[in-house]
Amino acid sequence: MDITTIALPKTADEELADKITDSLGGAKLISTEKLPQVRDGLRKGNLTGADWKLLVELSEPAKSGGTAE
Amino acid sequence: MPMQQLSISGFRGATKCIDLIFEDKPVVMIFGENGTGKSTIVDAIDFICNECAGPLEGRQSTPVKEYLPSLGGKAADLKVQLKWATKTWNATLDGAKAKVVGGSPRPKARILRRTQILEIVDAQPAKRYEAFSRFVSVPKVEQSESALREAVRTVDIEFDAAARSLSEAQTTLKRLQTEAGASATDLMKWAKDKNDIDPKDLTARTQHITTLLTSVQAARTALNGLNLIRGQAAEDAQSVQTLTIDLQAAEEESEEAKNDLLKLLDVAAVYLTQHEDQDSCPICERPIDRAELVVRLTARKESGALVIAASAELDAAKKLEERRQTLVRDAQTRFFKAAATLLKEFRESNSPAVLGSKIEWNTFSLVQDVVADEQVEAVDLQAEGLLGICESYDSALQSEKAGLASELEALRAIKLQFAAVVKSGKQAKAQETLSKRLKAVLNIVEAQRKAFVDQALASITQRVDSLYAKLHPGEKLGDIKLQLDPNKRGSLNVSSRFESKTGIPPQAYYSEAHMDTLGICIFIALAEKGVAANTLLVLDDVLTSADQPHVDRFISVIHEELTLPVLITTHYRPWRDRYRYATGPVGNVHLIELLSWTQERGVRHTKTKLEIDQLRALLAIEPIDRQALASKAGVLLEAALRELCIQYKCKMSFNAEGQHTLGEYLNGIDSKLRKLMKCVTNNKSVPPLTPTQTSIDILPLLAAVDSMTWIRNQVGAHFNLSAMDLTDAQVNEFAKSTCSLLDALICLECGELPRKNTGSFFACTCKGQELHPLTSPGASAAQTGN
Repeated sequence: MDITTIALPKTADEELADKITDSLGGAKLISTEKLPQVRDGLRKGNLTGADWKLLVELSEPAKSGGTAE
Repeated sequence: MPMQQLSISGFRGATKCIDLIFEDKPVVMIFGENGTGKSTIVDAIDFICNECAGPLEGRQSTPVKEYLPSLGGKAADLKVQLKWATKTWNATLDGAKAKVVGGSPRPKARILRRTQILEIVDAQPAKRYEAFSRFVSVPKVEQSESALREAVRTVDIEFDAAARSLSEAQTTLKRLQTEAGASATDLMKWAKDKNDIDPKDLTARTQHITTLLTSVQAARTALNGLNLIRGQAAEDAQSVQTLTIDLQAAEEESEEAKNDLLKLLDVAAVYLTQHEDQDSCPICERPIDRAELVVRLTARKESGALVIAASAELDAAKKLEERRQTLVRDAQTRFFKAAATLLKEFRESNSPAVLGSKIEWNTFSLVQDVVADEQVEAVDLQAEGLLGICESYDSALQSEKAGLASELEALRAIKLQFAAVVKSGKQAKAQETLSKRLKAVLNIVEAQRKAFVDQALASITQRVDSLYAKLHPGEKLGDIKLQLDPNKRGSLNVSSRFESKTGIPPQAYYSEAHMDTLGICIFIALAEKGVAANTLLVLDDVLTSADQPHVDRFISVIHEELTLPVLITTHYRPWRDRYRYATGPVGNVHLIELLSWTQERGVRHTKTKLEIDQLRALLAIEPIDRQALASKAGVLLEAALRELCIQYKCKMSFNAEGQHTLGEYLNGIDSKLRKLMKCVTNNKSVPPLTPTQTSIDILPLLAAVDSMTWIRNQVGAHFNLSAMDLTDAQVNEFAKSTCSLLDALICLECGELPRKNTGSFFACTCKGQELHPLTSPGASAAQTGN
């Protein structure tokens, strides 16, 4: 057994945060560059209401230059 | 087994150092009767892997520092060492805590102790949830989700406020439109058109009217001032005229009192009074008597006093008249200038009130800033006339000004409300968009969380149910379901089926043994989930009593279902003996046996010997131990034949105790079956070589032992004089024949008899060994079921 390749399992929060982030990215509700911030915030539980508003506002197609929605 | 070695000293029962060196097998079974040190080994694993003091953890009555070290030992002597996949960790006691030194990541151990089994199933839903919370509890995500929900709520409130402001502004704008009499036009188009109007024009027009009115007012003020001064000047002229008449009358009454003479006398008197040494007349230079002359002058002056007074009064009146005339001229100038301004403002005015009057401005051609003296009267007339005409527009101008002010006010209000509508509209739109996107985000977060929790529970539930079904196939129980209580936070319910009743708590109907196995299944399902590969599963004395089929199934679960390396401790001998008698895949198990414990010798262990190995060992001894050899061969033969009889459901004579003799077992395997019986060994090979099979007929092997079973009774079971006639070679041959039969039957890989029904034949756990046929030709249809 090669113990150098052993990775610590993700916590439930981390696992779910990854799933949610992927879904939000897939639905283009959060822009690609903001996804790491969302993932980190979900994992740490420190996203505030103001954070959510700002992240969603900045991810709007007109503001992010993306093609969401 | 990646765990290679565990060394324990000065820990719990390990008063002396104990080294457990593990073979490279996926399962380790440590067998020991009660009090031999099984828990010491498990606690040591817990201590070094999980930094946990096992049952002492958290107990105030048995402080770790005092009771974790061996009886009579010191805390400083406590040492646990673990070698796992070439790395080593060392644990000592630091205060009341474990201090572990070694690399990272350190192996973990998931340990199920006997005492915990019922806790898992029988615990209160909230307590049970704690065990599951590691997989289904997502407090961090829930925290962020709450913040998101709050953001949605806030944005909705802001949207409502913006929508309300928009509605109010639209209502006001509509009212203004109605007031403006433009209801028929589209509101926003009308408002935009109004908003585009520059108010400077209206302001300028208002300013112009103000200027006109101010000019009129200024001219009126100037004229009034002029007229006032003119009146005063007239009064002054009248006064001069009256005083002149008075002076003439006074002069006629006094010879001396010629006005000019009196003045001369006055001057002379003043001169002589001031020049006391004057002794001659300053004019004729004749000698004079100054004092006498002063007296005479004073007398003459007094005789003309009335004339003097009248003359002084007239002089003053004339001076006043002159000053007044100056003021009149100044006032005239101001009035003419005001009139000239007035004329200019009105003549150039584009005010509708003025434009509509068609005044002949040429009529006032003389009115201007600078006026020649000879034209003053004419200009005065024209200026006053102009002022009168201009004053006649006052009402019209005031009205026009008020209209403009009203228009300006309305425009300002429209602009204000239009701006409010636009701003509120934008805000409402922005909030609406944000709200929709936030709600979409919330929907995803919420759905993902629910799905995650449901999936995690479903996955555990499925695993528990699957394990439980393997342990209790065909029994009318199972359908285990783990569900969060929708009405309580952090509460987990367990439901099950019993007979035809579903959705019942297992505690209601399940036996203690069934509850035990359910607890074990739940533990295994939880232990497997979300663990690192370097995790050891420890089952500490979890099986205490079970019938043979259940033990067999439990062994199957351990060897076929578990993916983690497993360490089992047990005092349950039948479980261990399943391996010893080749009725379990002993090739995959490292069997360790604990010897009796004493404080002086501590925990001791030895490798468990398999029965077949013991028989081979006896065969190797010279001179042979006849009794031991015959006895061991007979017991082994009985065990193997018993399994065959059970598998083939062989017809046996009824025995109330279920015990049969060696001969009865052999008779049970009838000739038809013997002819068909064969063992097929699947020889594994490394690609590209193809696997091969070797086949051995069982008939001759059974025939060989069948012919010698009496040796077991003669030599191995009783004291028998006739047994002494048997040669060592005969006893040896019986034992060897037994070994040959067992070697043919038992799998070389996993060390197990082929006992599992594959549908076509029996196979061992590793499927390396097959036993044919699946059913005995002599078995009835009812007997052929599995």
